[in-house]
Amino acid sequence: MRHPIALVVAVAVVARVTMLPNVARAATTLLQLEVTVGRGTSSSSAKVQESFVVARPNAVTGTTCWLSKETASGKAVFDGACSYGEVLAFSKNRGATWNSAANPTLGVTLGTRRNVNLNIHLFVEKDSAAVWEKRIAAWVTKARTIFGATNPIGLTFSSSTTWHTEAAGDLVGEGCDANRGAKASSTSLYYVANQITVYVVSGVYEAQTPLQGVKCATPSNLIYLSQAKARSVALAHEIGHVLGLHHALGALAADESKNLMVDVPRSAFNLLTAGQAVRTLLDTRSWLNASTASFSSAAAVPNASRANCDTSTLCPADTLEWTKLP
Amino acid sequence: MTTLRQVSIAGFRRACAILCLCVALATVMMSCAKHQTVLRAEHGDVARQDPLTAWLTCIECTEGQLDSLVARASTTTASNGAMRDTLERAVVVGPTNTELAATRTASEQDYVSIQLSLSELGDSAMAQSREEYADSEVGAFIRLYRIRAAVALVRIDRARARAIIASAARAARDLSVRDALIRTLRDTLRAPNGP
Repeated sequence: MRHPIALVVAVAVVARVTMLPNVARAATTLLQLEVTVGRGTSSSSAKVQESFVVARPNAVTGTTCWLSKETASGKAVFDGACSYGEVLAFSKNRGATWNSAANPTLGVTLGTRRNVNLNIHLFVEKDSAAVWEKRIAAWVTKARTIFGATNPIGLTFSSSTTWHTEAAGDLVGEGCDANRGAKASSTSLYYVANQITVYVVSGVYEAQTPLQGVKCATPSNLIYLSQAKARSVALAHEIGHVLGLHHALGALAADESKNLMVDVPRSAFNLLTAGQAVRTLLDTRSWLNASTASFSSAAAVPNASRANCDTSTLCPADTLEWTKLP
Repeated sequence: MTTLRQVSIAGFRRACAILCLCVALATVMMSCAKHQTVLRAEHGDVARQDPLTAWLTCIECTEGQLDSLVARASTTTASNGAMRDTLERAVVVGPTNTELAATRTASEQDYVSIQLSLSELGDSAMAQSREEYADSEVGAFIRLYRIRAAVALVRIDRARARAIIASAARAARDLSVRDALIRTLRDTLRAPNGP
């Protein structure tokens, strides 16, 4: 039974040999890492009901030892295997926070949830615009709960929806090109660089295949959703791609995982692992780390500490789960 | 002699015991396998691996997903004939009542879960009612299902598919389904090997 008012905290300790002071590299005995997570201030009045801690590559040996822990007290202790280094803290209802230390105790103060603006453009005939705006609001709400409450990613979304005639949709097209690049007109008319732009068009196609939605490769913060075919999970799924996540494969693709990034989702596929949460902040390809992101200055991970998670061993596997207290 | 006979009887008994054990084990394994199949079917695990269901419901669809389905459906076995029949039915009438009911129930549960999360976050409630949300989800499910089935059918048997899709488009009451079916037909005329 977890304490009902305890913080929901997930801490990923990202120690990196190259960044640690000499004293750490010279250590012959692995030290225990104690992370204290401060609640910080938040405008939200909601109570948080669970606590987690996650941790990571070994600071001394350089071996990967990502771990996940749950804490009901706001304090998490990692024995020897994961020594001190860099720390990423996640929490439900709070923003993800980065910190580092060259000693075995480390404090992290959680911030407020990071807000991402969704710049939504709806191309539909006027008589059905009101119905569609309501549907889109539900999609945004679902994304907000997935990234803010169901999973401790620490994001929230605000949105503005602009209505255009269906004919105007021809200007932005039916998706990205064959290389997933965007049409010139789709990035000149309504696209905003420091927000996630979403075009809700009558149909989305790629190589004549009808899709529920798609995220362009360039720019990486442009999403197309199909009015006819997109189910509510599609927006959150595409946002996952914007944040650098790939389709769930292997064990993560199993129905039991209920992972948001499964390409054939059934009901309530809304979960993300600790590994995926870390990737959204650590991966250089995550839009959260893009220079155009409106909150770039407040990004959780400094430039020097980011990595290409497809090739770097500094990132955890996507399969790293949140580990709960027994 | 007595000793040999006793040995022989003992050996026979051992053999019988081993045989019985094997039969019992096989029975248990078969029973488990059958039970597991039922369980997997109930939980949709089988469906997840079924290329037809995957194609009809995927979000972006991975490269080769349609190719794999078409390759399977194009071979002449009874089960693949059934797959083609399923696709034709999917174009004309859409998902089965069981699939629709399952989608609606799942959407309603999803709605409740979202509302719960919203209260945890202290955010305002959904603008849509539970019924509206479920209606939207079921509507999108039907459209996706029928349109993807049409695209697959064209790849398997173009001439037959054209007739079926044209008929389905004429009968479609949902304009977005009609438009998408017409578009699929148009694409078949444009691209000799597509869509």
